[in-house]
Amino acid sequence: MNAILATDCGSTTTKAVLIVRRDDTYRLAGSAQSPTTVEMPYEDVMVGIWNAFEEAEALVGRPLVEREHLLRPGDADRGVDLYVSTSSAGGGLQMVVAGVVDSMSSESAARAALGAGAIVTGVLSVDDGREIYERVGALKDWKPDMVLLAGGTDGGTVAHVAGMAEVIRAADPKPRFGTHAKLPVIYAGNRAASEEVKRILGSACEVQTVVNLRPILEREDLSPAREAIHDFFLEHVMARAPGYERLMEMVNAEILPTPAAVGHLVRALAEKRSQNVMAVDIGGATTDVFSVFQGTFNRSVSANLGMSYSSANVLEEAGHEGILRWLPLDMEKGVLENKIMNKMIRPTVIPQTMEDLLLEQALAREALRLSLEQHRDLAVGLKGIQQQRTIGDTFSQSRTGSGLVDLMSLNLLIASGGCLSHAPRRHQAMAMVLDAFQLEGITEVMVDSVFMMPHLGVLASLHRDIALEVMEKDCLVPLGTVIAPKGRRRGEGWALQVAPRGNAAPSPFEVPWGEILVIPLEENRSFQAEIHPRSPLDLGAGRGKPVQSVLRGGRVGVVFDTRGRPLPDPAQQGAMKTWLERLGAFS
Amino acid sequence: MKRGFTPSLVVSPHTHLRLPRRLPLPGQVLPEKGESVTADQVVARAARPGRLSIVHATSRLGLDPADLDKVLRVQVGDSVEEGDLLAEVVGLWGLFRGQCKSPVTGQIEYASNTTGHVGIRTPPESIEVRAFIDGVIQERLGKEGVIVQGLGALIQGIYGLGGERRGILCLADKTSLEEWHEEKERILVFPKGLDDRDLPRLLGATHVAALLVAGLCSATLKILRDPKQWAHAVFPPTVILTDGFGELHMDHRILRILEDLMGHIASVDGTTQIRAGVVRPQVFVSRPTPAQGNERVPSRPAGSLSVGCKVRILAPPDFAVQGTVVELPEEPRLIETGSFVRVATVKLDPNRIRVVPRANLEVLADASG
Repeated sequence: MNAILATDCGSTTTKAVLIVRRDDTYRLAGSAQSPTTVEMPYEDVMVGIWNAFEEAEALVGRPLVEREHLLRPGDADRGVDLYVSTSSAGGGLQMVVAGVVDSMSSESAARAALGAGAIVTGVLSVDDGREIYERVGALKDWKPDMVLLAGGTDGGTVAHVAGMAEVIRAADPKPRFGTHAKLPVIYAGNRAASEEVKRILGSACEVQTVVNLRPILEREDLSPAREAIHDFFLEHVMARAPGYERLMEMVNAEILPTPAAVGHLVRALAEKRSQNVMAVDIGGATTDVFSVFQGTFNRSVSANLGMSYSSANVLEEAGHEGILRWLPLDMEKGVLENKIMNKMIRPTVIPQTMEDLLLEQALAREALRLSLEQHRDLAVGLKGIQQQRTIGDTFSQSRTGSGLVDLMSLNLLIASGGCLSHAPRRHQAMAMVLDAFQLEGITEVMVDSVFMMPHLGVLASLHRDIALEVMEKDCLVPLGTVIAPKGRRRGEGWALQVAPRGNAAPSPFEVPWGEILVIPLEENRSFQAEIHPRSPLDLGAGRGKPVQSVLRGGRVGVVFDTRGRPLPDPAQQGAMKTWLERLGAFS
Repeated sequence: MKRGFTPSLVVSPHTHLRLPRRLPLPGQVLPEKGESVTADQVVARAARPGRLSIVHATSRLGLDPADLDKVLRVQVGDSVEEGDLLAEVVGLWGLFRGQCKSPVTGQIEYASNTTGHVGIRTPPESIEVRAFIDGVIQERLGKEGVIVQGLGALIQGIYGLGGERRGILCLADKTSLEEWHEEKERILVFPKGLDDRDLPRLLGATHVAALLVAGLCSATLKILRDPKQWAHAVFPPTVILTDGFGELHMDHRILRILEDLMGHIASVDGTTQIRAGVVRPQVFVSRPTPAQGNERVPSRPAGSLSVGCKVRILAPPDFAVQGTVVELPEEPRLIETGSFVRVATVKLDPNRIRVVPRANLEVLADASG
């Protein structure tokens, strides 16, 4: 195989990447982008795709298209052998999930939908505190592409889930694409209620029944529901979107929703490295967080947290003080508000002054912080299950539904999205994730330099090795390793004693409490070190217990962060300027 | 051939506007293709099915859902009035009666022994769509609606709140806000912005259908869209910002067109969608013949960026300032933030030169215009 072409048809931009084989390795040859053309006046996704192909041809100097046909198969100098694509055009796959108990079936349904790459625009459950007419009204307002209905264990009560089906029928929401089409509803609840649900919804919706995603309380089986979502996405959402019929004929693998493709890639990477991996993609409208902890994959999408379209929502949720605390300069609240609103209405504008850049990065910190909070809420174990306990567990028992996100055990964080990938200095990207996520323990940080994780994700469904090879060589840029002890201590003095080992390693040194210290270390270089945190600080082995680790370099280097966790409020200390200086964010 | 896509807003003293007028569901389309219509004329009509009201009957009567059949006093297909009896439980010796009544007028659509719910469909509602602008039916869209083509002045804003309104264009500087003797709605234009001193007078004014202003603080916008703040309005007026948020002066091209149209009836729509299918708010004034000196110009946004074209800067430090492109360097340039980006050199009035990221420019007119 000589060449692979991949596109991601986003809401705003269609981006094409070309991967070419050189001496038995696959490398990124070039990428190009063009505005997406699903909406008026073009109403044909292919217009933007051909445009992106032609741009890629011109940039790379390799003919790809002839009379609106891809040159296939390719050879060493022209054409491509494989074409794959993802799509989130038109706002992506928007779903509503409905269940019986909010913290059980609805939560599992949300995990299934999110894992399949959907944006969950609303959640309904019998115990959500709404009156029936309010549920009907909410569902009408949300206008989903698809509904996932779950609830009840197999053989349990039918009435509740049937009642929720009646709500869907009463709302009678219409899909966005195809005014005469029926709304797809996937039923993944109590098996005993499936006939009743079909009877209620049959004439109004396109119902497909799959295996119950919580057949018993102690088990969650999300795969059948996710597969059904994917099939419905292709049959009912994609097939009706303008121009997608042609696109579906052209691709060599099924089109994936963009976030589903990124999820595939993150999972593949975590598996290959046998590590806990988290990835964040901050966009203009939404922020996605993907995590794999102890082999369990989770994805959350914060549909109202983003840097342009959703910037006003970030302000709403974080408050003026929440954003202003990350600014190393004074700004009136009214000015802050107007700047953020202007960013919302003109999403493609870029920061032109240092003040606007600092504001954008302050906003990003809050969007990232809030997104991680939402991810933590979603990435939890099953709730409501019985646990076998002994008397000895009485004082140490964990609650059901405990969080799966453990930053102390996180090995790799991948940061993606315009404000992170295109920050004028890589140090600024490091500063944003460090402040927003308050990383703990020892974590490698990388950025997705060219936004090609969706492309590689869909490629991974056919050629996993090629996708991972290109990801590591051309997509991810290592920023370095962060060493951040958990806890706080009083007084001054050292917080960490670092004893590097090996020929190229620096001499032993101490890191004072309350500081950020950067040891420059280039990409592809590393050293072994024993790091001793001063009690009560903890680097993962326990309070005051030393840890051994390989510290890898990157565009920033090895970053020791002893500001403490939780991070002190920068506004109270006026510390933001100092922190940015220490990290070299603007020098 | 690669196509250009340059986002910019339409500002034209005389142009064609093709305005789709669609029903939310299939119905009856009234005028024929080629027929002239007026703004207030109904062009399509449909009967929307009534809403389904669900009554949890057995729960109200303290029964198991399976017992619904035994207590139901209506049948599927029956018509009921609001307050009619749906189900009833009669206690010992007929003394204690539990009743469940219909909250709406409609027809019984279903009664479920599984959920204990009774579904009542309210009568269909009539929906009418009006032409909204004077013009000619250019196309009938099956049973969904029509496309009306009008001729007149068109101004797109950058952001709006509120729906379709019609009214007489009035310059707020020259019109007393308090005294308005006509019964017609008015659309107030604030060329120099709206400050806190104007606000109490404005909120006490009558017949305000819409406000056109270059820029507003978001706090002021929230006040203007709050119906409780208005002394005489049931619905808050539609608000359209032509430039953005903050204290901004109206673009002189827009002001010139509006000044020329004072006293005319305008159709204003504040609908704005920023993502996935951009929709900008707009003001349209029907005008079959152009004013002197205003020849017809196409209603498409201006062309792509080129040397000589007129542009507006969309970001500080020169936000909303207009100028002319004098150079388009090929290579990316370093800007204040430390980023390397593609830029344009723009000559501002009077004779100031600025290097601006291309992403921060809006094309107002190409080099020929």
